[in-house]
Formats: sequence, C-alpha cells, structure tokens
Amino acid sequence: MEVEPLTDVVVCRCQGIGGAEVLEAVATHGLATCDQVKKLTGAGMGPCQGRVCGPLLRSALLAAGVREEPGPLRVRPPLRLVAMGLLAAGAESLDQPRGTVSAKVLWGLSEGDATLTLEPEGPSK
Amino acid sequence: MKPADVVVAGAGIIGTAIAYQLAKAGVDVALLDRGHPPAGATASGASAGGVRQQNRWGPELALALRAIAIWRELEAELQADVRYRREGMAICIDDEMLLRSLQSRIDRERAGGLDVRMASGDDLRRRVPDLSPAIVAGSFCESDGHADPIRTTEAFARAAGAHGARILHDTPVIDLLRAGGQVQAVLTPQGPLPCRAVVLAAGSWTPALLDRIGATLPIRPGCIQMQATLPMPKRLLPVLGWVGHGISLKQVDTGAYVIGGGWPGRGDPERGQADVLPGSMRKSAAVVVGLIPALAGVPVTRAWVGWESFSADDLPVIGPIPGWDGALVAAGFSGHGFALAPAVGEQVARSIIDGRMTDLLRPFGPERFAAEGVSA
Amino acid sequence: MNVTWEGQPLPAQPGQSLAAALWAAGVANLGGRDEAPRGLYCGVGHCASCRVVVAGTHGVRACLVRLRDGLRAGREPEGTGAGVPAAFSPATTGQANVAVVGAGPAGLAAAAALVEAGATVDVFDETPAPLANAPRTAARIHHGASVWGIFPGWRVFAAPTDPELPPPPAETAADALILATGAVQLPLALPGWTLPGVVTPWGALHLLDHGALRLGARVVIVGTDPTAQAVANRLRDGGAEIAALLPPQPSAWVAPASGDGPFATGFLGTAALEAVTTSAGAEVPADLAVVGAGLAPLCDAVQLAGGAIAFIPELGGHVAVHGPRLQSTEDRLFVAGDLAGLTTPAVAAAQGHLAGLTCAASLGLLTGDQAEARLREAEASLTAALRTETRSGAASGRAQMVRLWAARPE
Repeated sequence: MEVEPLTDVVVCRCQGIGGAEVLEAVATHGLATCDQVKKLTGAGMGPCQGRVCGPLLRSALLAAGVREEPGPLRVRPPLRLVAMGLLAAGAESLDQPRGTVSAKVLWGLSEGDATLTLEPEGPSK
Repeated sequence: MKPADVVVAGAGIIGTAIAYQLAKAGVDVALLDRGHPPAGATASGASAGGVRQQNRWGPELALALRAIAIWRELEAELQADVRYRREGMAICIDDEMLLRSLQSRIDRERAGGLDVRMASGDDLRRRVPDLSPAIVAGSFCESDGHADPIRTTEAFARAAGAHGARILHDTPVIDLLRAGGQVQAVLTPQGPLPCRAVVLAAGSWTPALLDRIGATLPIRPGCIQMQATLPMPKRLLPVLGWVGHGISLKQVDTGAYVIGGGWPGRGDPERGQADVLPGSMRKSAAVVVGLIPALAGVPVTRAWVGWESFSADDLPVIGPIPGWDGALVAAGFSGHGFALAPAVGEQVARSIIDGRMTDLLRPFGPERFAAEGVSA
Repeated sequence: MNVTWEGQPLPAQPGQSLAAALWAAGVANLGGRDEAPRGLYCGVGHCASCRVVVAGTHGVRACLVRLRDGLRAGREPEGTGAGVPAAFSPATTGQANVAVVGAGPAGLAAAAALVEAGATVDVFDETPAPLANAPRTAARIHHGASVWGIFPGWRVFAAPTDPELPPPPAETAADALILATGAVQLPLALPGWTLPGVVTPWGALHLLDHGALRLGARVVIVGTDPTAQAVANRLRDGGAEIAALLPPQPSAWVAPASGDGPFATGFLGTAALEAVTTSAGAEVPADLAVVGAGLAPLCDAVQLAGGAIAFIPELGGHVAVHGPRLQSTEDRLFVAGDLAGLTTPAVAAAQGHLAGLTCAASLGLLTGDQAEARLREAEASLTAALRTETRSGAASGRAQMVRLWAARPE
C-alpha cells in the first residue's frame, strides 16, 4: 500500500514541534543522526527527553533516506525533571567540584580561587 | 581536494563568523569541521549565549563594543532569527565591602565608552521583583543581552554558504603543509586541500593542532556544563550574574531558564567526550535559588556539556601563528567568546584581506606570550 | 479526603492517582492557559504530558501522584491554588551494596536473590505504591522515587514523584547497579494525537484501574495488533463502549499496519478529544482514543550508566547489550527484563534472578563451587523460560545478542 509522508503532525509533544519542521531541517542540512536533529530543531529537549519523540525523529531520518542507524538519542542527566530546590538541598556536600572553571583556575594563576580538582572516578562515556 | 583561497578550520561560532565575512568579501573560503555542528560537545553548543560588554578585561572591551554594534543589525543582515534579546545585564553583589571594587570597574568601563552604571539593590528588584533581598547593588548595562548560540552559529554558516563558502563536515584538519615558511595546504584524512591562508578556529581542538605544527601556545581545553529548566512564564528580562558565585542566569524565548556560570563537566578532550557532573548541577542550582528563591520549585529538564579553549591570561588568542606565513589562530576565548564573534569575524576577515592585523585585534596576538615568557 | 484542584474541591476516591481523579471529574486538559491542550497520555510517568503543579513544585506528573488528604494541585505554569514551594529538606545520602532501578518482575527477582545472598539492596521505582500482586521482599523499596542520575561509583540520584511526601535518599552510593527499567510505549503520530483524551494502552489501563472510566464511555481503539485487542477487551469488561477498532493510516510517522481500511486518520477536538476521523470519511464520536504502536526497550538508564546498547529489531529496537549472565559492558552493572529484549514476565523474573546471583558473586557474596552451581541452575531456569517466548523473531534476536557479546571489544 502507498505510504504517504504525513507532514502535518506534531512530532515533539513536549514543545509542539511539527513533523514538517523536522523534515525540512533534515533535508536542508543533510542531517544523519537523531542527535543532530535534536540540536538543530530542539525536538527531544523537553521533559520527556526523547522517550516519546525519539522514534519519530528516527522515522524522519529514515524517510529522508539515511542508511545507517540514526539513533538512539544521546542520554544525559537528569532522566526525569528535578526541582532546583531539591538539587540545591544537596549542594552543601563535599561534592566535587569545589569551584568553577576559568582560565585563571585552569592555569593555576589565581590564588584564593577554589582549586579545581577532579579525580577520575571511572571511565568517561 | 579542490583548492581554496582561505581555509577556516572549525565551524563553531568563531569559524562561521570569519567564513561569512570572508565569503561576503568575495574570498574563496572552505570551512572545515571535524564533525557536524551543532551536534558534538563543542563550546558553541555549550555556550550560555550571553552577549555582554561589561566585566571584560583589557582590550576585550573595545572588541565587545564593536561586536554589539554589529549584533544590533545582525538578524537583519543574516536574515535569521537568532533570538537576540537586549534587555540588559545586572552583575549583582551581596556584600557592601565589594561596592568600591564594583564602582571602580564601572568607572573604568564608562571611560572606555560603555553605558554601564551602578544600580542599588532596590533598583534591581524593580526590574527583577523576585531577586533575593540579599542583593545590595549591582552593575547594570542596558545594552547587554543574550542570543541563541546554536541558531547564531547556524545563521552564520548558512549566510557563509549563501555567499559561496564551501562547508565540509566530518573533515578535520590534521596538519598544515608549508613551503619556505608559507602555508601551502591543510591536510585532512581525505588528502591535502591547497590554500594560501588558514585560520585555526577549532576551539578546544586547537591546542593539539598547534602542538602538531610545532607552534605550541598556552591554550588548554576545559569542560563546561549548562542546565536548563522547564518553560515558565516570562518574568526575567535582564541576564543576571553574581560576583563570587558561579552563575549566568537568563530566561530565553521559550520561557526556560538557562543556567551557566562556568561549572565544570568532565571528560576526554581528545575524544571530544564530556559528561555531566552532579556536583555542578547541584551547586549551580544552589546559586540560582540563592539569587532568585522563587525558582526553587522550577525543575531542571536537561543538562549538557561542551569543551572550550582557555588561554593562560583569560584573553582570546588571535593573530599570526609564529613560523607560519598565512596561518592565523583565533581560539582561547576562555568562555566569553560568543558575544565577540561577529566582531572577531569582521576583524579577522579584514586582517586577512589587508595582510595585517587590525588595531582592534593586535592586542590579542600570540606574540604576547613569547614576550612574557609564558610557556604552555 | 480533602483534595483541591485550582483551589476548588476535587472529588476523590482513595487509591486514585491525581490524573485519574481529574479525568473522572471531567478535567482532561491539564495544560496551562498559554499552552496547547495536553493531558494524560502514557500513564506511567514517561511522557510528562500530565504535568501539573503540586505544592509549588512544577513539572509534577499527575499520573504518579496518589490522592492524599491536603493535596493541593493546579495547572502549569501559574499553579493557581497549588501553594508555595515547600522548603526542601536537606538531602540525605544512603548506602547499599546494590541499587536496583525498577520494581517490576525483573527488579524484584534480582533484589530477592541479592538479599538472600546477604546483600543490602535499595530498589527504586516511580510507581507511588507497590503493585497489588508484587512479591514480598526484604529489600528496601523506595516507591514514588524517580532515578534521575546515575554516575560512576555507582552514585544513584533520586527525586520524589510527590514533592510533599518523604523523599527517597537524594544520593545512594552502591557497589553494584542492576537496571530493570522495562519498556516504553511507541508513539502513533496521527494529526491531533496530542489532544487530551488520546492515550496509550497503559494510559487507558491507568484510567480503568483507577476507577476513572465512567460506565458507557465511548472508546475508539487505533491499532489492530494483539495488544490493542487485549486492551479493548479489558475496557469493555470495565464497562466502556468500544465504538470502533481501526488500524491507523500508514505514513512516514506510522508504520504500515496489517489489514485494510477504513483507517483512523486523525483526532478532532478543541480542549479535548471529541471524535476520531476515518478514511471512510466518518467522524466517530469518542471520549477516549487508545493509540497502540507497540513497545520498545527502555534503555535510557543503561546509556546514562555507560553500558553498551545495540539495535536488534527482533528484540524490540535498541536494547542493553549483555552477557549470558546478564552482565553489561560496564563493571558491576547488570541488566534484566524488557530492556534486555522485550519479553514475558516469566523470562524477566528468571533474568532478574540470574542477574542478582551474578551480581552477588561479583561482590564476593557468593563464592566457590556452591556459587557456580547456583548460577548454572539459574541459567538453566532462564533457558527454560526463554523457550516460552512466542514473539516472532525472539530466538533470532537472542542469538544475535550472544554473537554481539562474544564479538565485543575488550
């Protein structure tokens, strides 16, 4: 049966981003991965973090003719919404880092700035 | 590979701005990137998007003033919506002991031509009603603001392409080739691309390339982290900073609060890998809640990280690479390059076309490190 | 029970979720004044379409909040009548030998095996209360706890799904981590699918199980696969009127469905669903539309932890790469259940049991010949359970995983 690309449909529920916009971005920029689509259109940046729309971004890329598997979306914390007050309530711990990054800190040129110490905790992904 | 007049290595905000200005002037430009921006843990992707003039050291102020003049017309010029908003920026203090140093910075900047002034805590709370009562004063600059770094980078790239620039993705510059001290080509995995000039604007990947060509400069990669909240009703117009606390807080068009401030992520710059640190999420959230307590109930939806290049003296490194005729570096923006990009693009392009660095750029030349004997 | 919505009393049945109570009271659109209409969709806390404001905290998923005396809630973003932010109590840190994410059959089986081996176990699950038929266990189970962060160490960060209930430990340090986060429902994107009243199968079952579906509610089922049929049967048994059961219109967004037309082509309504349009030109009035497009393994926690995933369509899509004893590619990380390949509860439980034993052995809690014997026994149970998998292609998918694991780079 004929499969017609239905462009008039919301693809990112969280932010109301439409399929037409996604398909246009893919075509205009020659996008090949879900992450590229996410960065350029913002789809997948809402509270569902791509859990719902990820497959639809994949469909867009496959419909555009991408051959290599375009997904999945890269995952970063937070996996779920977390209130800033809740995050802040844990900030007093002896958690790293002790301060912010700046040229002065990176080059150790500034006395009195919290020294940035980050011991490796494990493999980085 | 097809030759070009000028190769720009790095399609972040700096590289695209330079490529655009060169292409607009009729120069045959090839813009190369190791990946496919905006994807990837790049500085442009992790920029807080601040477009400020205040709180810049030394020669950056003049460059920033020139940049804002370009920013005012940028959306019209690039025919793009980059979400540029100019509602001011307030850098707050919560300690009256800091009033004097704040005032002296304000005086210095006003002398340099900037419309910045001292504002009392109450002045600031009239603009930002939810601002913590702990804030006693701040420096306020009307013409500071913010924009979307990904849209801006895309807009420059699009405009560069429209003026004839060639953009090659997934094409890293892995070496430079020269004859008799003059650049002949850049080397990529797909082979050499002949050119008569090259600009290394590869952000955190620049130091490795400089090492490779024997022109080590004191630039280091650093990983910075951002987070953003659920969209909320638009209440915050100015960008907020807070002396002594890592914070750059703004509310963007969607209503989300975007939180920066230099908190670090972690990872491996060589592989471009970067991870979010929970401590940075917590500590930057604590600063936000300290600045605007009413935001405690607003949730963070996402966090992201990117690699930036930091120079030994916190100033950008822009100028001819020692030992290489025809090769320029434009990196080391140290976390405050986004606002400057339109001016950097204009001035670097002019410098290449004229064959000498412009007045605005000369103070940023890499030769300053040789003079001071600062090693990498 | 005194429950208010936007400052007004909300009729409440004990045990209901806030989302269900709102639906029962005729409040389908949970979106704010300046937002497009939205409401309950996935029913399990994945989509956040049902987000509301509770006690001044924004982005609270109404499907994961149980009614309680004194609950005040309101719409995003102003949250009228929803109170001011409560003070956030200082974060607590917990410690356990093993953290388990997900209290379904796989997670609970893993926890039980570990507790029996002498491990301290913390289980985290987003559902507000234990399932009625969940097995009893000596593990600490934190219900209403959303794991939002997993960092090397391991360090597991959790947040409460209801901001006014005692929160789980903000951070738990664990020597090992077992991920059993299950599956996610695939989207079926037809025009109008974001309207309140268009829900997934689990969303429909959520309303049914929480007593929120009125007798005679008109339901249209979109999707003719066995899951859709099963949901239709349950809803019909629950008193709903199944007005139609249609395949969806195929498109780039909707995979071709089996069967001929008429197809469902879209959903109509202003603030909520009113009718389903068909390719035959009809508009079928409906109170609820159930859109089923199947499941996929939910591997986001695995990706966060750094475990490898691979695309194996026969197992449901992107799945967690694992060895024969359910170990992931990262040290002291194990997986079990749907996220290792869509499967049955029996297989999930057998995998959980084996993962728990493997984990216990890796921590030195099970040693020597006895350990090996128990592991072999658990492997045999799993092999037997796997023979009950009837999903087309499952065996081929499992074989691919075995080859993938054998070929992985060291």
